[in-house]
Amino acid sequence: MPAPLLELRHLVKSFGGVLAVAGASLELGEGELLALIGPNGCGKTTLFNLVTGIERPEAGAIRFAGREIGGLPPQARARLGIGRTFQVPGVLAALSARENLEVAATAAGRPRREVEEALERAGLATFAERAAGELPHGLQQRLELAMVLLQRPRLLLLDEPTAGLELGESLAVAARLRTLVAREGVAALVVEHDLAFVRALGAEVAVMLRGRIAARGPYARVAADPEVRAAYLGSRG
Amino acid sequence: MSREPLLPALLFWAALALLPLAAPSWLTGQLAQHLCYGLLAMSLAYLWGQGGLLSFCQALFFGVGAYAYALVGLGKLPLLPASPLLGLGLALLLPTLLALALGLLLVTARVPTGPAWAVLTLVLGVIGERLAVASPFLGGSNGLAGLPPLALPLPGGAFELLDPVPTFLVLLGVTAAVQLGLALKIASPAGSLLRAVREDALRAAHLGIDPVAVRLRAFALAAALAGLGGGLFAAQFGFVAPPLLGLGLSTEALVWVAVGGRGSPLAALAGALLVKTVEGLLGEWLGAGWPLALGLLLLLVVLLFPQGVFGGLLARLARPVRP
Repeated sequence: MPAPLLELRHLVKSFGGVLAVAGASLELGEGELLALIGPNGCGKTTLFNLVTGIERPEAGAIRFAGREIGGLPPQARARLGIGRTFQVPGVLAALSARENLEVAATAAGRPRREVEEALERAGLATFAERAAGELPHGLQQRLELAMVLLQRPRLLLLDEPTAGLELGESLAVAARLRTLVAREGVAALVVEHDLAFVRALGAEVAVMLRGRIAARGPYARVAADPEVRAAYLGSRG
Repeated sequence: MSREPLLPALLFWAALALLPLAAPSWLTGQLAQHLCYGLLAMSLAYLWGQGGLLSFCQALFFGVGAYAYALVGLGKLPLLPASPLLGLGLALLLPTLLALALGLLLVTARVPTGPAWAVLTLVLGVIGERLAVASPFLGGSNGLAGLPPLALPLPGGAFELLDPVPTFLVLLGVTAAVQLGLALKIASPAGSLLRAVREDALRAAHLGIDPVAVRLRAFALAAALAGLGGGLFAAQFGFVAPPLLGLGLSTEALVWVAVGGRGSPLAALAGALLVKTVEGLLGEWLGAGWPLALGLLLLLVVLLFPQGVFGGLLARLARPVRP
């Protein structure tokens, strides 16, 4: 069996004595799609921050493509192929949509023509000269994803990609994401609260509870897990 | 601003180049000196406006450039011949190296680029001025005088820049080249990366950009340009003293940039020329009361033109026409 693309082993991170991530372990294969769910404060975003290098773990190991990356800064991890979107879209607000994409293309060493292609593909061509911070939330999310895709990531970490979207829009995002993973062979880890979206994603689900991965499997099986029902799904139906 | 409009810049330089035809030679000489301040202002606009790094020590690099020119010009450095051109070269090099060293220090100490960064730059400027005052080698508080003027190596022999008009024209050429070079830099991919780091360093890092390296490069480039301004100032003035390194001049430079517009080096340069000219006029009209009048004027300008007097204008010209 090939080594997983991302391998997290017993990660620990605390803030002011409170354990945010308490021995979490997770594996993700090349081209695999996995939804990560869990109640607020269970450590999902901190787990992302550990993988992308915003936070350093107190214990445990982070391996990406067979290499220990726990000591690398965020930019080195990005260059290895880890792309990430944020809960609040991480666009560069004062720069135009086009310049946002130009920055991403320059950073990734992509030619300028890919900027035009990305604008078209993301449906942003008519907004190219608008300041990114002035765009509606949904367009900012699309711009952010287009920027990340210019990096040609091997692993995508998406932090609540449907936050602030209507049901129809979020189902469309799920469809686009499935296509992306199938077409480009990108692995994706998606943090999400919206269970309709998670079901539409049709992917495996991992549940994070109190800083650990408590269960993993197909949605139906995870949803039936008594611990998960008690801690999370039970209250959300 | 990501694109400096070219036409206003060309018109500005053409108008300035014609000035010696109409202006008395004392005014031309004074403007030549103000162009050195203009270089300082442009360096600060690049660092602050494009890079988001508010610096209270930009005059430190201007002063180090001025002292570098003075030390070489007076033949006070071992192994180096007393050459004004070599002095100008060192006026570029020394501030760059100093900026890299100080920048690495601030980065290693993990100083965040907010108020803490600004306060530390302020402290660095004060330390620089105190060191110059305390150093007999640098002439202490009296500074160093009797510096040779800049000399251009021409086929018929070295041409010394003593008269106001040729001095002004050479200064104009250097300042215009720096302004146009900065405009190209700002419009280039490297300019985009600097603005990305200014907007959100963490987000930029997640795109694979090294924010520390980008900021260090900007800090060093700005220091080199300030140092060039300082070297040229010393060559014209024939004299250097500790206030050239100090907090007073650094703060003045911030005022020029705020008045002109920090988003654009051209606007900042025009701000420096405007404030220095108004300062002179107010001094003539009001005598000792001029700083108060200038202060009130500056207050009005900052309230009425948040993007700067010229910055707002240039931004409007640079904005693409929407369909």
